[in-house]
Amino acid sequence: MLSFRRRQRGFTFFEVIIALGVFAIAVVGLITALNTAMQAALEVRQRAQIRQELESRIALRQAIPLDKEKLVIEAKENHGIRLEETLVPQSLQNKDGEELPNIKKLTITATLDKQSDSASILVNQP
Amino acid sequence: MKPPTLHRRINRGFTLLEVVISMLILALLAGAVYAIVSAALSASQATMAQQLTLRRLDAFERVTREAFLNLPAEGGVTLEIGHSSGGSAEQDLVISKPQGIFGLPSLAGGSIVLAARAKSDGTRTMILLTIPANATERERNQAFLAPGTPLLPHLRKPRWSFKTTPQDEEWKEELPVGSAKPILIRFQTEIDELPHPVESIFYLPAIAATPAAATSTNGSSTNSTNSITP
Repeated sequence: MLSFRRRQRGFTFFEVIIALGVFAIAVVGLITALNTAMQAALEVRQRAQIRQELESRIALRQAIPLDKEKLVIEAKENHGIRLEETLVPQSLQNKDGEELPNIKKLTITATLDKQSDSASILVNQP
Repeated sequence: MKPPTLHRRINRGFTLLEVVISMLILALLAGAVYAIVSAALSASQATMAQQLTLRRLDAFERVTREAFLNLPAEGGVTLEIGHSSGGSAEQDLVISKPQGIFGLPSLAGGSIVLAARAKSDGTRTMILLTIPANATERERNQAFLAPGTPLLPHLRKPRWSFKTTPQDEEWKEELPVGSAKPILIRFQTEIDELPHPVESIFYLPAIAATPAAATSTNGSSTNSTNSITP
């Protein structure tokens, strides 16, 4: 009778739960690692894209100066990258302590998804 | 009769059904692990290809930007079409008389060409060609057909466009020989490894002619100052 019962019984509920739990932890760990790696790769790509956009924008602004104090270009009008350009007067003195006129600081901020970076240059424009 | 049966039952191994079920479970687990690992591997391969492309693109933009920024007053930029052997209308951007690029010497007044050449897989490869100074027409045509140095592979629809003055609203697609030097140069393309289209804008500063060039183009004023001195 005893041997018969032993032969018939399967795993206990507890054993099955533990086995499933161990397996689930392993799979979740693998997927998390994979996801993190993919996310990091995406961030690197987006950073490169943002820097490229900033360099292009600076090149553009050297040829065509910004004619207002603030310009915002929304992401959907600029292949997914949001641009914000501000022009503020910048105090700059030469070595004799004289104030240089018409020097302004142009700051360009590019945002793609959650990544953002900015660059600024000094421009000479009245 | 009974004891042997009990003995056999205790000592017996797994039934065929149990073995088959356990093997099935093992196969399922192995399959799941294989799927995850192969997905990770292909993702990492794609990422590596992407990183390499990004680095190449960055290097390409850097040297191109440098070439434009350091272009002397007597240098120029033109877009020439239809130099490749296949007869297709490929765009070749000719930068004449650049200061050194890619560690090349300043070419002694020669030109460099950024040319997009079609590959058999339908993509283009951006290559760098050099044309020596004082090349004859024949030597120049030969130089355009050279294999060149590959810079960017797997491009699709590479195109150059230009603005000649800051007031230009539209980007011009043409820049024939003899036209005014552009102020902005735009390069657009799609690259197989990258999901987003690539657009780079380069600034070509307007440089006053060097004293030597100024003397030749503006000879009258130089003469007048000379005549005052004695």
